[in-house]
Amino acid sequence: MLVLTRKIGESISIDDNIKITVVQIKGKQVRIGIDAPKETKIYREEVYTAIQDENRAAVESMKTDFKKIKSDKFGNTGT
Amino acid sequence: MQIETLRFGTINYSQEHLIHFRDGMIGLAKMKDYLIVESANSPLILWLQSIQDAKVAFPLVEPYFFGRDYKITMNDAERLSLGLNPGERSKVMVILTIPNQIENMTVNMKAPIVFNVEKSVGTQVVLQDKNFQVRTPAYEIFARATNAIATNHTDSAAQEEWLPIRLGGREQSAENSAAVAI
Repeated sequence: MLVLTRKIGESISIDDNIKITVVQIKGKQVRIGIDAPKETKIYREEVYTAIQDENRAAVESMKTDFKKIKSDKFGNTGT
Repeated sequence: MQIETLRFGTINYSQEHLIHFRDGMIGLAKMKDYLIVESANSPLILWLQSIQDAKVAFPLVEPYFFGRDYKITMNDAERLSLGLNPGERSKVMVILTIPNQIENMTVNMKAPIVFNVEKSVGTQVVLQDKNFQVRTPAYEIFARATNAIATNHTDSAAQEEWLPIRLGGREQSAENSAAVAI
């Protein structure tokens, strides 16, 4: 990984169209501003990873046995 | 056209059934074309089946089972991916994860799929709202919904028939559709 040191207000350019700026540093938190083309999808890493993992789990899903759910005591209204 | 699938056997479809995801699904970016298939024997769940991989299919359900006020706000990139213009119809579905142990079923309320009905295009949206969870327990609600509907199960091992559906083919009451902010 490329590691660069920047001060508040300084930026990093990626290609011609992405600019990342250090906006604020407060204790252990850093606020970062990102200028990127509108079609660029930008997400917090942990959220993105969780969704990736969940999508991979979802495509392993089993076909549902509705008969089993119907006969399950749970949620049965008895009608 | 025809594809072999892991879960649903052979599915015959035509061009109008294809749904294109410009950016794929999150974590599955390379797969861009899907069908939605349904079976009369399995109400409530529609399956988003990949054209490229027989094994890849997402079970989808209507979000309104899990809450009435489910509002979708898209960022610029998601909006562009969907190409949704004012006046065009959209449809929101949420993804289930159904493990072997069906009681552990969850629903992903954090990252629903929004379809552009007119253009047959879809995109997965990430909601910023912290109240929505990636793994929301779903079995209790799902079992209630299943029990509330009448199914005409053909018992025995009768072959289940899976058919592709056209996105715009279903009429939908406005009250049950999740709101999408353009």
